[in-house]
Amino acid sequence: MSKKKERELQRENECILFENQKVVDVDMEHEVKKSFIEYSMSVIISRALPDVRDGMKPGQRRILYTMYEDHLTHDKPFHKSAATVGTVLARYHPHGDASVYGTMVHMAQPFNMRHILIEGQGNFGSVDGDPPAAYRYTEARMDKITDEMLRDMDKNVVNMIPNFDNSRKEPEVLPSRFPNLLVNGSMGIAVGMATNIPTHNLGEVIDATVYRMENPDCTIPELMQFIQGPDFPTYGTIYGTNGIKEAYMTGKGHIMVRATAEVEEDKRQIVVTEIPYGVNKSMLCAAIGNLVKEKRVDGISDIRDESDRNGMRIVIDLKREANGHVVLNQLYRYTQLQDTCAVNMLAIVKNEPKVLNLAQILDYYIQHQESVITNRVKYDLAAALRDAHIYEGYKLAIDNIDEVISIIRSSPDIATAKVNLMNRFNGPVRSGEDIDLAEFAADENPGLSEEQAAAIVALTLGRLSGLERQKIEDRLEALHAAIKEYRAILGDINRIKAIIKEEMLDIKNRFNEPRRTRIEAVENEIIDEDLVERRNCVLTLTHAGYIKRQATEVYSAQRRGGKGIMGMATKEEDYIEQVVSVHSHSTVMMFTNTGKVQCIRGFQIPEASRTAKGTNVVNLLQLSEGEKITSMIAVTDFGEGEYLVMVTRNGVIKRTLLSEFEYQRKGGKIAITLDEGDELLYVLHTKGNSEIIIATAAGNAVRFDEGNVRCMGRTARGVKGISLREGDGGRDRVVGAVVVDDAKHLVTVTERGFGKRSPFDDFRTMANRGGFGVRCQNITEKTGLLSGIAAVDTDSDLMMITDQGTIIRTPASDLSILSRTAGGVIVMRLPEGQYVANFTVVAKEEKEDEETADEEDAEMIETVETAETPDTEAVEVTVSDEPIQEE
Amino acid sequence: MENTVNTKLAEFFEENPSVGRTIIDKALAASRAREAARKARETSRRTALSEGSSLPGKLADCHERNAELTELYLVEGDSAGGSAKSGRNSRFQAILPLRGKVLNVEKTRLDKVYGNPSLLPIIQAIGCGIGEDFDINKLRYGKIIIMADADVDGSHIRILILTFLFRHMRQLIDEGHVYFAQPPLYKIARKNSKNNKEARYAFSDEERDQIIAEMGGHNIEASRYKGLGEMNAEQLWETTMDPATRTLLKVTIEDAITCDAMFSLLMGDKVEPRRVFIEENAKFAENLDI
Repeated sequence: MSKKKERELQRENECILFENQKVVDVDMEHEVKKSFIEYSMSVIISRALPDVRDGMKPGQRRILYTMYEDHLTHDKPFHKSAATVGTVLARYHPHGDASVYGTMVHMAQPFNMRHILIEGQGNFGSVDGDPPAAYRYTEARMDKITDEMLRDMDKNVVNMIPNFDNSRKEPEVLPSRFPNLLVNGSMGIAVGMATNIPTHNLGEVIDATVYRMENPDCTIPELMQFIQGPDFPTYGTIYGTNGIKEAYMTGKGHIMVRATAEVEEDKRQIVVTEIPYGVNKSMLCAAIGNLVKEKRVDGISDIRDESDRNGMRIVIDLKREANGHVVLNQLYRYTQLQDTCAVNMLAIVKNEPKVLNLAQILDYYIQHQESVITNRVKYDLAAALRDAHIYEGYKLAIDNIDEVISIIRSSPDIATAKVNLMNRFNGPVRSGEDIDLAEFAADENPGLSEEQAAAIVALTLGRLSGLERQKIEDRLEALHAAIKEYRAILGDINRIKAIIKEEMLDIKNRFNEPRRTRIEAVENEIIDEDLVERRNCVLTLTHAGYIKRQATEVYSAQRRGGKGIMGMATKEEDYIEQVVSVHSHSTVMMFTNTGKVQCIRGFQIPEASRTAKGTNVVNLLQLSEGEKITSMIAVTDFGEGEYLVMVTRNGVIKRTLLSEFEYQRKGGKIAITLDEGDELLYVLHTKGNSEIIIATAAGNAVRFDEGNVRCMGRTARGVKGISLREGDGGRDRVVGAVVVDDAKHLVTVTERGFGKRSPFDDFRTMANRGGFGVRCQNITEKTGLLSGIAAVDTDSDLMMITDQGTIIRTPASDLSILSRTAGGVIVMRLPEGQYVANFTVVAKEEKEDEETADEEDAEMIETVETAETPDTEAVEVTVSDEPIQEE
Repeated sequence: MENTVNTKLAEFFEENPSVGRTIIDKALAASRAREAARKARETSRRTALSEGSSLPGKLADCHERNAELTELYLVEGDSAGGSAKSGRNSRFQAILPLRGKVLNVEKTRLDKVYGNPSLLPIIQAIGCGIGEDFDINKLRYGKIIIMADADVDGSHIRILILTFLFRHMRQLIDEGHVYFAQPPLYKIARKNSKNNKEARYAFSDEERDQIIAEMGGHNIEASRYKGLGEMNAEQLWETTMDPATRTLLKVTIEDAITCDAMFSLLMGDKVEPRRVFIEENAKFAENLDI
């Protein structure tokens, strides 16, 4: 190698290594986060999710707009797909051609769209998942209904935005004169979120939209009178209505769709003629074949896909001994013959992704239509004003026809003629605004604008004939009438709504089809539920959060309140805090100290033996740090006219409609907004006309009508229910709240085991809530602070629990009836340092009937729990007069 | 002793189910990883036997052998790969075009990572092996330069490649071998000028405005580059690949622990935290795709 070459290489190496190299350090974390946000937001806002107004993703919208620009309407010949794809790429969509063609094909597939927007010619794919022919073979044009998606585009009804290279403008949204988002649905996976909106019936959705416009405050169940549920282009049957309702109320829900299949016993066949939406038929057949091969389903000898041009037909041959219905049920369970549609109605609203309920979707659509119609009328008004201006010029010329003709004849050229006309008629020019025909005629010195003068010189001689002159005047009159009309419309939102309604109903008349998907209400949808034996149970919850469910019979009757039995094997230093009676199938609402509520079905709580510890609630519910269950309410249904009354440790009370809690979300809902340091302790289930007693540890109680507590929204804070005694180290707190029942007595029990019954009559109903109340139990050193209160009748038993986990059951009738100010008698003798932690009222065992309706049962038992009592050392427990029997 | 630990631990898991689940997940993941690594080693051994050289076919290698001097460009898409190939200095610049988006390794089981057709060429070209077998001394190029379009999909590809490198070839980033190429965002030229020579390039919005001002401000057109494929080979060399004129961005890690958490959050299989992250940071998004 020559020296020169070597030097050159040397220099190049230096150059590569150091010289002139601009290297900037970037922190990976920052770079990745920034890139990620850009990517994910782009995918969310402008790729994968539809706009709530027209239900279009940007890719779809660009295809339709391009076809609109190129006049590829249903009455024109088909156009090569490749040409359309190319135009879309060149004008608006700087991405892959395959994705544009895929989007176009989707809009042309009758098994994907409830109403196809593009009419395809050639192979556009099939339910078997066969790909469409390449775009050089196929042709396409817009379908008839697509006109309605784009109607009035030429009247500036939607906002136009620049395309990627600023060379053209594209619509931000299409006019969408029918609610396309619901009709054709949408499915898309973005980043961190996805959408799945099923298709719907055009007529039903339009009817619901019209109803919503007439009743803007209507409820979603009202809308569901019109929209019964999704309507899939592939027919099939929706099984159960709960999922639909949930999806419409919350935006999310699971809808079960079943294929249509007939068991033909004589031919020993199952014939499937419709499959659920979105299911790939050939894959379904393969899956059934695999089930047979794996022997998971017996009784099938062969499966054939006999679909042809007459429609879908999958034939499943049965073995001689097989029961067709059993086999079909197995197929429903194991294959997509029954499929779940996980609805998640996420759409873009004002550049933000939002999960929307049915009413919100309709509202955004209606808003959009109002804007479209307003813009259209504005456009028409401007056009009419322009025309009227010209016609006024004509009229002026006709009224002064001889003079006009002579001016034009005497002018050397057109330009001068225009100027001469304007010089002659030089009065104030009418702008076209605020014209009144009568006034116009009276004007003595009219003026001509340049536009008008230009129009006059362009008039043909024929227009001067008598008939034409009349036409000009008629036209002017018509224009004035139209201007008046447009102005009136713009000034009245109801007229705009009327137009929307009329035009939408017209679309319904022209395009509506009967519903395809059948909806079958199923009584007990969840199989789990049916598998669980229906019976009454007792739920126990310990201080440390262990919960279990036991049959009510476990707590057997004991005469004369003597023996204590171990109710629950607790961890050391743990004790039972709450006992509630539920039916296995009722919903248990779990309220926590932080003011939240979560629901769980009775049977979902694991059943355990009497001595078992149970399961920790953190395994069943989503609780945050320091959050614990303070109250449990069992309900069978969330009927109207029922209320929940909530009372906090600091005496705040709040009343809310029970129905506000019907729809639950994972992680719970807010039940009450709490002040700093306050806790939600008691929740009562009332009927709207109850009276309530709240008691404090200092032995005071207040009684008032629940009507005194105004009904508030779910997340409200509430109002003052009772005042606490200041001082005493701030130990005063609310220890109980019960619903007054005059047939019962109020039981009070203190921490040291003193108790009594007092008539409710002893407590006067206060006119107002919020006071200190009256004495309900004499509190002394001996009795200890008030532990809790409850309402009992003579048939009830009292179940007291010490902080050591020992339970004693005593007939309530054994407690003396004393005045409200009395100190009570000993009901439970406790060793030093031990406290009554909680007591509960349960029905007497012999009265209990297994067939008792859940609701009655739930009412028979009410829980009263105390606030925390200090943990104490384990002490040998003695109860009442008799010694405890250890199990 | 054993008894006590047993009871207490059972109690602990009962009350803290998430901790227990994490431990089990970790154990499962580790077992899968070991299994996968074993398979991968077998695969690589087999490939080594069957094919003499294990360089990927798409790679346009350079002829310099001194790893200190060489550069490997990972280029988004075949369309840009072509112009990079003809625009490069073949002495020290190697080009590896990547087709489409590479696999997200954060969401994938380990055994799928090895032998994945989108990742295998990268592993083979870099030459260091992967994971436990990684050996920095076998590195074939001093600089690994990721060259992707200046659009949001390019951003995504950068993240995907970084995720892979961070998870499986972390040392490359630690020792400063990984770079981003910085293609220009704008081409600025006089209107109606057909001469590309006059064109100037801007790498940021500020620079664009400055150049427009310098050129007199009238009759100037600034067009935004959508992809590398829009540039011809000469332009690509001039603006992005010529060591004398280009700007490289060197990827550095300030805090490895937060980076680790970030990749799990952004690329992992838990959707909910990712959605929360997007919602919290949505306002910082700048260059959105239209």
